[in-house]
Amino acid sequence: MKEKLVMVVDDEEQVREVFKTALESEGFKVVTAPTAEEALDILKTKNVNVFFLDLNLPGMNGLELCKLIRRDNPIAFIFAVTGYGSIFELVECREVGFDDYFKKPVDLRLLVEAAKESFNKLERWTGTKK
Amino acid sequence: MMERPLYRVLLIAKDEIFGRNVKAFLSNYMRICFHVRLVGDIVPDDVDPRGYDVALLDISSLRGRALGVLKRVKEVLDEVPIIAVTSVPSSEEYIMKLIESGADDYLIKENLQLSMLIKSILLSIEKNRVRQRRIVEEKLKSILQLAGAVCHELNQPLQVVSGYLHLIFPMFERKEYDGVERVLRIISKQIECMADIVDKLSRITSYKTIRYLEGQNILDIESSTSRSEQ
Repeated sequence: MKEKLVMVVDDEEQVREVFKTALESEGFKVVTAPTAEEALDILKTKNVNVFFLDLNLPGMNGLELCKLIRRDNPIAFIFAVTGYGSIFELVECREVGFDDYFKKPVDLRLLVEAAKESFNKLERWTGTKK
Repeated sequence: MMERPLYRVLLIAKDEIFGRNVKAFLSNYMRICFHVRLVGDIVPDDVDPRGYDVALLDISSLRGRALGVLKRVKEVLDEVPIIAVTSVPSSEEYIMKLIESGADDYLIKENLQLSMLIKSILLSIEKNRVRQRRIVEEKLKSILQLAGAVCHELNQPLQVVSGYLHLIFPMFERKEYDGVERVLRIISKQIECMADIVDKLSRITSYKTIRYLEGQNILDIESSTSRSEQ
């Protein structure tokens, strides 16, 4: 896999920035968006396979965004990041197709690990890993 | 043999004959076990509201003091339902005042039958149970909405602070002091944000919610905060 592109969607600018910095420091390319609508616009031109989505977004929420991404890209790895989590929310996340669920404040090492593991799996599935 | 249900009744009646009669009727009722304590027209200090399921308050001898006594009894008995009993029929307006003052039901001595009294007691207890359950549910809902708002609001700056603290150490090792200063400024700003949120929480004066996710609401801290003190 040539470019390891990750998308971070969160309405808090500083949260987007800190996730981006952490992921870029580990060699990932990162695109960010403050809303689901802007994320969908970016996806028209970019092929992203790993996502970190805040659930509570202005306009379309993270659950709806996950459904749309999953519909067009069944093998993508999509992670929920939430400021307020409950067991009901976790179930909902699993139902709409999230692969995992992180509660803020999340240790950045966990996000980086999740991204690494996702790309490893994608490479294995698509035969790009020897 | 099936056990009879037990209800604890506080009977507040200055009219001794009425009080003794009601106590005797209820105590001898076969299907339900009533434990009745008879007191005068005041509630003694040793009465623990948790020890009663219902109170019967005879207001017939109280005349103009009835509403005031009822309010005081309600204050003492707190969540215990109260049935007001009077010797003469009252106007609709007065009955409304009794209800507003804390009575759950209203009975007239003149045509009072044991079956009617028992029905009123059971209904008042059941209505009270439902009401108390709703109050607890509402309290829990409000607490969850507050907890949701606090988690949602505070976890944003916490995420930024914890994230940048994780990134700052390698910067020290690489002697990137400009970068360190920038990160410290961001952290400082986020701490100010947290202090602002905590300050708003201490000034909540109303209850307004916002939609969080599907089917979930959280307290709208901004709109629920008193602006006059800002």
